[in-house]
Amino acid sequence: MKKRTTSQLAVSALLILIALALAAAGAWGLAARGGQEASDNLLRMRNYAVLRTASGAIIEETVLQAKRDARDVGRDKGLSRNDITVLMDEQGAIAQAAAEERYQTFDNLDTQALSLAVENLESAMSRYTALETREKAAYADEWLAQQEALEAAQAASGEEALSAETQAVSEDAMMAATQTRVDYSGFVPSAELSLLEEGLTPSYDAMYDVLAAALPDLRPEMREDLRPSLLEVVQGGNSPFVQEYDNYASRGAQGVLEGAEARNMIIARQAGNLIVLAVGFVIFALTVYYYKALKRSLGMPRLVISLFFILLCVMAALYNINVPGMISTVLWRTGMYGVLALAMLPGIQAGISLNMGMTVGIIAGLISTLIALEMNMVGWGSFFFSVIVGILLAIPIGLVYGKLLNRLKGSEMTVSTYVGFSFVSLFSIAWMLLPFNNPKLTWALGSGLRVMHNMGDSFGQILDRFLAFDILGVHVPTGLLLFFLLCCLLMWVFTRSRPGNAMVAAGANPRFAGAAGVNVDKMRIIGTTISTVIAAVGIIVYSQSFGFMQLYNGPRQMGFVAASAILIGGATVSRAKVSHVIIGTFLFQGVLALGIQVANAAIQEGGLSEVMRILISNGIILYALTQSGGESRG
Amino acid sequence: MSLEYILEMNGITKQYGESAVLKDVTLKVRPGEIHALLGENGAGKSTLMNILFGMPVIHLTGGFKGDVLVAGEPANIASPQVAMEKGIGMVHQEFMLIPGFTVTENIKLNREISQPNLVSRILGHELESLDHAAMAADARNALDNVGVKIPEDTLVSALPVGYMQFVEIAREIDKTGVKLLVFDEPTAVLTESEADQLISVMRSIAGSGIAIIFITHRLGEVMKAADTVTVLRDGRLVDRKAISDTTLMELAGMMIGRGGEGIIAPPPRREPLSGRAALHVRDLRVEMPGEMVRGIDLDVLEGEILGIGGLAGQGKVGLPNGVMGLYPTAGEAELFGEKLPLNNPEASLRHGMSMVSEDRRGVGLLLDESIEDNICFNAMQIKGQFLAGPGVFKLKSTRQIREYARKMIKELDIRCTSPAQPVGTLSGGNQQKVCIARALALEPSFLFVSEPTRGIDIGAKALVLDTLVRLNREQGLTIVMVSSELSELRSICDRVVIVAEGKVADILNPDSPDEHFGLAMSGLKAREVAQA
Repeated sequence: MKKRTTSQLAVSALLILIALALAAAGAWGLAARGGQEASDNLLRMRNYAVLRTASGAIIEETVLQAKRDARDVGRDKGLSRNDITVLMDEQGAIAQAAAEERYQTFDNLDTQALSLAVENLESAMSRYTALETREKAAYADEWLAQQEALEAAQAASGEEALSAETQAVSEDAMMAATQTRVDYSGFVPSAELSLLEEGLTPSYDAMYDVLAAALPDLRPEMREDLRPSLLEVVQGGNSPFVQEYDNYASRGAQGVLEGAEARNMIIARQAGNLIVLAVGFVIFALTVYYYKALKRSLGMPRLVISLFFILLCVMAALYNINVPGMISTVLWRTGMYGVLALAMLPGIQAGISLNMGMTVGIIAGLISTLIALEMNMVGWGSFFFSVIVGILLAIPIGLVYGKLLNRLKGSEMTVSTYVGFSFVSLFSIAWMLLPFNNPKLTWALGSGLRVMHNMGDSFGQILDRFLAFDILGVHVPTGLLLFFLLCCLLMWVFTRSRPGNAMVAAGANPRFAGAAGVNVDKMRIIGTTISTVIAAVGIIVYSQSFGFMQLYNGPRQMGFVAASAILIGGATVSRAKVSHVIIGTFLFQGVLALGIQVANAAIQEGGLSEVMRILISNGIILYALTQSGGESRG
Repeated sequence: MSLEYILEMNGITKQYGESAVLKDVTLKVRPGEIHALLGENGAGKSTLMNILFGMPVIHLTGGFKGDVLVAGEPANIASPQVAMEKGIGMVHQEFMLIPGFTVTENIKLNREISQPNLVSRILGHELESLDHAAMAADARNALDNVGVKIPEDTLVSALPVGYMQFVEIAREIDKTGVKLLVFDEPTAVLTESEADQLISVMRSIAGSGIAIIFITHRLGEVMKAADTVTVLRDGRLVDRKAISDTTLMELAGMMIGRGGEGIIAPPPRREPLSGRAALHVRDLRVEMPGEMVRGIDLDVLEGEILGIGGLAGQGKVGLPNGVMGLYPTAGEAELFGEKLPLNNPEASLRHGMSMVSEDRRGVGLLLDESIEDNICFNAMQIKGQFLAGPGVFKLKSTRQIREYARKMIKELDIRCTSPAQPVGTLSGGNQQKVCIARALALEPSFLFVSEPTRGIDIGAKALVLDTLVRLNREQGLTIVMVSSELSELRSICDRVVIVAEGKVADILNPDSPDEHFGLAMSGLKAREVAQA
């Protein structure tokens, strides 16, 4: 290995210095949170936030009044509607500026009294909130239990909610739907809680009186209007530093702090983020330092994607995205897509490069699942029935498809892409014509199969739930992952057998294999057939995990997703290993799931999330395909 | 013409990187003579011609040393365009003709005669119309000069192969101001009568004052057609002689030279050969592109090392590839008295034959796989070795493979970091040893070794040859070795077969005179020449 260059050393040293500085600042900030200065500052901020909230209400009131006056003036003058609006805005702005000027400082404020009053209110609030939280949690448990009983009763009576299923559901919508919201409309507070709530009023009144003394413009009816927002300000008193700070800061309370005070508070507030950033910089520095070794052992594409993944993790931490939930999603998606990505492996190994036509196998899996649904099978029996029938269907399809690819050597990727697409289109017709009669499957009016099918009552999530457990908030779909790893193990064992070894050689170098007496064409057919069979199993695993089975255009892009995963894992179009599938699926799905969440957090505009999902997933696919050339020692 | 030489190339030296391919070569051609340029593959003929034509490959690799004089004037030939302007033409070995065009159109391609028309007057001469009549007349004239009677308006695709050569020549002589024509192995694809006709055409062209450089390795044609001959060997000028001052035998000797001082000295045989045939081949025809075998009869004796030599493209490599079933093959073959099914690589391997391919990186190895996997692949596929497990569920046994690979690495002295190192990272010589180890893992009774020393350094060469001799002497393994390097064949083989034009030209003893090898390479038998 060549020596590291000076610039490489300089850059990594610089990055480490930045990381150390960030970490030091973060550590100092964390320590400062507990200090006397910080708690004093927080108290000041709290008082100021209370004042700002009250004065903000006054300012708002004043502005509204000014606008109303302007409107009346305008009407009197007989101005047009547009001119009146302009005039109102003008007057409003002038009034706002004047009011804000007036409430910059609070001169006749009794700071001592306010502090005391706020303190009192806060302790009353915290007693109340603690009890309320306990009672609400108990209520939620009860509500969920009731809900489950209700669902069970519905399922037993055979009533189906058909409406939602006919629409195509995106995976993200699915993820959101799994988090059930508790309906608190039926919550009734206990006597004790009501008593505590009543006890709030004198404390609040006391505080309000202090405020009213300081702010003569506070009109009497504002006492009740301001109550919810003021309570909200005060409530945060005992919560963690960050929450408390954000609570006050969102009401403009940083204004009370000056110079070094403000800066220190900001460092204390951002301490966690600073440490996360420091970790990010350390990883970045290490990457620069070990760049060559990493590039050699991982390969450029995997290095880039891994770095992107780490970047997303850092960003996710900065955006306060729920990390365990994130990991759960990545695990789930890895298991869900893993078997489909594995279907690419035998194709590459047998020398037909990326088997974009794996959709023919997917169709076989869909048919077998439909048969299981048609016969109203449930549970493990239906799952294994689907898998076995799917395999039996996929074998002859794979054999014929393999023969076709042997006739068109040299342009397999184009051929298989078109075979895949045309098979999907052909079956879009077939789904309308096939003789399935179960009313659960067919359109309510007329004949033909519906687009989405709920797997809930057959084998939906049967693997996901098998031996599933939660650890540190991470939900591990044990059965799903085990099944994926079992498939990988079987594939690995096959490549170590005599025919498997011959197949890999036939793919890596057909002339070599031919010279060693291997029937290359036969090996290609075997590889294609295995790929087709795994695709059939893959879609069954995917459907059970997703909870829905999609017909028609649903499977069309599956080939691209699987191809991208294995390419990102480090495979090339002529060489692939089981490890490439596992690493690739994890990275691809990880980047995708994280990327979407981070993008959603970064771009708050509603409706952009779906656009971002498409951009990110297709972006990764595109990047992966540009890497398909790969490097060989040849 | 008062000029003595139309072309002089003096002291030409050319290096590709470190290796010199031409060393102080001189070529002088008189006007109106046929000058033969003779040499084995790799003697430097093509490089010399590339310099003459100013091919980009020469300038991209650092140019050359020496002077080129055309018609007595120093010429700086920087590109093929310049060569053409100076009146140097080339008749290519592969026909550069467009099949869908007529003979006239091919002859006048890019030199069309055109007349102005209405459009071209406005939009420039690019759009002038073709003067078909004038072009046809020119083409007819050129064809008549070449002496072929084909009508000038036939499509080239409808012509017999032999005639395409003449169209090509006609195109060159149609160019105005041609002073020198280079014929690059023009007779390679012609029948004997066509070749005779070509020679007479060359003579008539030369008679009109155009000099001809005739590149060939057919000694008979040199004697028949040429006035003067320049012989190159290993990038050096051997001699320049008038044909009247030399003989066929002398030319053959000059071409081969005394290169074979013996790279290694094999120990003598302890027992004489049994004389039984190990491989018996009759009328073997192999469709290997570029190395066609057109009917070989051959007996390989048990326990011998048989060498197969010959020039590139003559079919020497086709023989092992055909017998091993790698290319479509017809004919008969028997191995140790048993009939060998052809076109079936698996059967050939099962019969105890094994082969080290000449295409090491293409056919010989899985470059991304480890040394041990490469070595054991064939034995695992053919013999089911190196597998462990119950019943039909047998899996590759890493332990057995590693053990065997270590043994072979030690025996053949393969330099590597571990048996798991990918073979793509090994040097050429060590890769070759892995190939040999793979062939040996089958424990063959008959071994084909094709070009075992191609692209490996001299030390590794000796080791590879030593290994072959050792296998032969110790285990009595019958070996057929194909090589482009006669010196190698002559140093370790019991007999050397020279293949020319897809047939056995001669079977010689390693200590036969050089002239005999030279003659055999151009398809002639020494005995017949002596009789004639």
